Amino acid sequence: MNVEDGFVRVAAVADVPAGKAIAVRVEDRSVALFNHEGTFYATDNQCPHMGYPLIRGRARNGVLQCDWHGWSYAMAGGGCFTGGCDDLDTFPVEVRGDEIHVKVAGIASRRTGAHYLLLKEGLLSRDNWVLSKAVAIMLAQGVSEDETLRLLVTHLGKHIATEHDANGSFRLVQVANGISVARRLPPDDRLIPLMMAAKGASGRAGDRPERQVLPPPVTWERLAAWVRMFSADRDWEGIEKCLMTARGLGGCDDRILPLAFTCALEPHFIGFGFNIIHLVRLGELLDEFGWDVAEQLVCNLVAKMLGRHRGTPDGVRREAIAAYAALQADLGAIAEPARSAPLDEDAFGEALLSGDLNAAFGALTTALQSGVHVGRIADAMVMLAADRMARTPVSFNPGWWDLAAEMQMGSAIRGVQRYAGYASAAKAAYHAAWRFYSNRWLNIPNRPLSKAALDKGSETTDAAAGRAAIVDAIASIRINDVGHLVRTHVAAGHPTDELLREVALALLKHDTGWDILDTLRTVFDETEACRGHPAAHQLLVGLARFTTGARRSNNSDSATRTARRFARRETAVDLY
Amino acid sequence: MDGGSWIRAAACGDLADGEALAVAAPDGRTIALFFTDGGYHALDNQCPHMGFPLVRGLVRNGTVTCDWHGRSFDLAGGGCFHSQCDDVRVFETEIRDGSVWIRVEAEADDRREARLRLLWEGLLGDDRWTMSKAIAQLLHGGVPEADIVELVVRHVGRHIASSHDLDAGDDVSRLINGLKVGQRYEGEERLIALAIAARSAAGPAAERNENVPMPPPYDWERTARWVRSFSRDRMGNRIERCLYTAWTEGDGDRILPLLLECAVEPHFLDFGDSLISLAYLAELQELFDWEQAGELTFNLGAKLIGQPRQEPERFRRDAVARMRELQAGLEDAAKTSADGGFDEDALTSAVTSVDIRRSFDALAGAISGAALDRLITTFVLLAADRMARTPVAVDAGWPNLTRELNLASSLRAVKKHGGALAAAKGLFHAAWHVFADRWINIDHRTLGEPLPAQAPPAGNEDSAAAAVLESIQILDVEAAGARVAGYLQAGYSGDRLLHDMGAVILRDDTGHEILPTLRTVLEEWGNASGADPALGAGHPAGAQLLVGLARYATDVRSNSDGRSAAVTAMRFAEGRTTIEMFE
Repeated sequence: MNVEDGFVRVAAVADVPAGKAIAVRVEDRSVALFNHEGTFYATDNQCPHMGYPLIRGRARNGVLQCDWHGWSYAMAGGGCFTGGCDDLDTFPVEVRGDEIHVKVAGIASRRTGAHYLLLKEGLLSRDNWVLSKAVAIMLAQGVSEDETLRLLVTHLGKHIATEHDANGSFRLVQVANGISVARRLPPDDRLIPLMMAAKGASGRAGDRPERQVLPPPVTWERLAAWVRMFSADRDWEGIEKCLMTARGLGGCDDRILPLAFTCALEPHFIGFGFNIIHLVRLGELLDEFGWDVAEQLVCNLVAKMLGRHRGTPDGVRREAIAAYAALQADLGAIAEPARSAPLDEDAFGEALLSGDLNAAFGALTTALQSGVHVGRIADAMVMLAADRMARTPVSFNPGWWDLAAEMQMGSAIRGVQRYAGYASAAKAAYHAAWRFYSNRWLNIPNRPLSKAALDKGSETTDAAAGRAAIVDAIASIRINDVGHLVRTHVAAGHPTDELLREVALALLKHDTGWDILDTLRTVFDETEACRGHPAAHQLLVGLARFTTGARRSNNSDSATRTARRFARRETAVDLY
Repeated sequence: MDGGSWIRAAACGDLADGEALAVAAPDGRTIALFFTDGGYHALDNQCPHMGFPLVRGLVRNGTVTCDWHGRSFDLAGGGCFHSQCDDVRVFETEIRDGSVWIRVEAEADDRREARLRLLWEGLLGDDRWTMSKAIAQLLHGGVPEADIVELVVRHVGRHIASSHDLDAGDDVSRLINGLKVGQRYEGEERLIALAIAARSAAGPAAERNENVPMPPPYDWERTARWVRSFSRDRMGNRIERCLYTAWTEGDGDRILPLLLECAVEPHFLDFGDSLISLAYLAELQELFDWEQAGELTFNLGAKLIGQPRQEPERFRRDAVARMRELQAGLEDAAKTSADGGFDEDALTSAVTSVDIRRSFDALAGAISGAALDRLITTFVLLAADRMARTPVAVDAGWPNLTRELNLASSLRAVKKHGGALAAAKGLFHAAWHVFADRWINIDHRTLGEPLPAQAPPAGNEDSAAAAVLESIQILDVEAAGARVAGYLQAGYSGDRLLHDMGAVILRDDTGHEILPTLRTVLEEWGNASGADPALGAGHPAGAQLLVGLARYATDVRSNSDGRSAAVTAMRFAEGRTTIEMFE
């Protein structure tokens, strides 16, 4: 082989008859060699669309058409004629005597540095394959995860602004939770949750004139009053205008989210607790990406969430609204205690789950006024929800989504405190209490959390084998076994963090991960927050049961696994 | 107190908290004076959304909410909280000697950007009122029409590329014809035509995949070969990137000729609408630069020449085959610019003979001997004559006949932008459509013969023109045709009659449907009354253009009152709505 000028001999001229193509290996790449209309062409053998070998394609008129989905490329330059696909790498060819030489080393990839184009195409088309491929290629080729995520979040803002109403917030949480879950996993396992985040951010992004700010004189106080007025009026356009104007004033950015929480915690929003959870997720994205990236997302989506239609409350909700409204003045004045007073968790749980809203609100008010820290109340609510998830009977309707909502509402109290202060968190606890109350139809007998016992199991195997047995129970949908297996595993003293990661991977790979994503994410958060609580293991038990019960095998893994191999240029070789 | 003048508006105490009062300003507008939370606020009384008086609005929290459509404004700064609505103008107030004074000054028109944005919002939302209003305000504020049109053209490209299919050709037709017709009018009619053009461009638009040129090596011949083969193979989605690459490589001028070349291929027989659309596209591309109209040309051009085609039925299959056989001869004929005479009656007899082979053969013979311009004229006048004579009893065939007319006339643009060969092939498409319209029962008539004499109109030119317009308005199709013919035979001005008919069509009718035909007749009448016989000067059938238009406009009239929105928009731009409509 002649290597000094980078060209290597790949075949004899006689090996490639006119109109034929062969595959050769050069520099560990599969290269397609064509003899077309009297000229030799060398291209990457892996079709940039889905990785099929291009030597099986059809060459005509200088255009190479892949035989699988018909994507076509200019043989000379490698340009792809249609979207959703990178250009094809082409390599210089020289005929030296009766030998064909190709230069592969040092030839830059087509559209190198243009990964964003592919990601953009995937985001606009909502095509799972293009998205997986784009994310995998970016990660494999050293584009930073942060840069990729900034693009996702920016696109999400544009997409929601023109294509969604207030329910666009469900897309937002898919993105936020996909990112959050990815961060809890080792880099090699992040592709699936990042892909779910990308899918959440994807869709059409309509043109929209930039919202103009209100002319002077405006002050923060007037804007805040108007936001509250428009929220009460269900007029989201007015809210958006005020938020944009507040951004323009400068110096008010930090007051925007607290104001949003103030509105979302109003009595008329009882029953719309997901608004509160979603605002917390928005706060997290804003923390991470900053106003430059998230401005449109925050101003537009917050406006839609706060200006959403709320329907006419039925009798029970009307009473809850009145009871909670009567407490507003007292709650507004509540201050964070330096140290939490003790909470009788069992009595509190009894009242919260009594099916009597007055008892539930009463127990909450008593606790808050006697100096129990709202974070302590959040612990109790999350633990109660987890315990209920770990025990709900699966015979008819286990109420997975309602139980997940209880848990997330409890957990969101911490986020509200972080973004809007203690008094707001105290108010959020009432919205959470309402969520527990509205799950009263679930037939789960109450029991004291302090007695949340572990199964004295027979597990004697090592930790890895125990984890494998649990994942197998999830995979084979043995819901009645999986809770018991987790409890005995924990009782045997095995570490829970590793088990949580494996359960998470199992559910991401084999399941409709995107709708379980928020629960998974909450379990990750709360495993930290509730460490040491006697019922903490119920988070894992509940999650394992939930994922087993809600399983629908969508095989999310296969597309991303193929995408990863594609990004490593392995498909043409390995699969075909 | 310099600049502007102060007017005394009210005595302190005239207004209770939350009340408002309309005050007449010297320029004829009214100003709304509000008293709330201990302060006075003066605002233009005309709601910037649709002109309702703001004094009737609801005041709370330092805002006023208009009572009609609920748009809200900040009383202090005038800012509007909603989209598709301008901010309202505020005036300075002062308390002196127990009275409230308002400072009135001429409005500084610094709202250009805001109004262009408003037009854009109207375009995106397909909101006719917002568009009319924005255009009227822009024109009233002295913004050049070209700036307005530029925005519209840019939008239509993005709209069609991201949110439209093949029927986008209609949008382009209304756009270019609205502009072309508008140029011939002033005032109301011009605004109506411009608003029709803008409406054609309206609709959502969205981000799309970025256009990126193909990697090198680039070669025009190779790229053109690909476009031709993708067009033949109905692979429109592969064409756009080729066109974009050609433009970035400096071959923009060769794109429209290539598109037209593809569109006149025999397999596109029966796709005359696409050919018309491409001719309009060529005209747009001529009026606007590539930065403005490029996206439209790349995207719509690719869609049109790469569109799916059904298997042809028997007649079309025969026609395609015959045209293929005759094609070779056309290339020679197009190179030599013959301008010999030809037997027009023999050609039109063959074209209307209901025998496609005879039609095509006669056409090929004529092309080898006569000037293309003159042949195009024959097809234009043949269509006009058919419009002037088609029976209106059951189905007069207006969409078909106007397609014959507009297709024939657009071949002049095809020749200009795509060359003689493309125009020669285009004549076969024109002949095909006459054949395809064989179900319309119109007898053959020799075009060169004088038209039958009509009774001379009573009175003078004015009353004769008024009689034509009246018959259009009362939907008397037969009288409209006869009166136009009588008017012209009396030697009165056809230019004037056509101008008046056009104004009536714009004001009272479904202008957007008639617009392409109106535009064709305006141009072809110009040819017929011009100096060049090849373009139809002096041809006895020229009058049929006006007769046909009058009959068509009368028969399809649906009275959608295009005038009222435009007139309201103009009054709005002059600030007259609150006074004239509500006070």
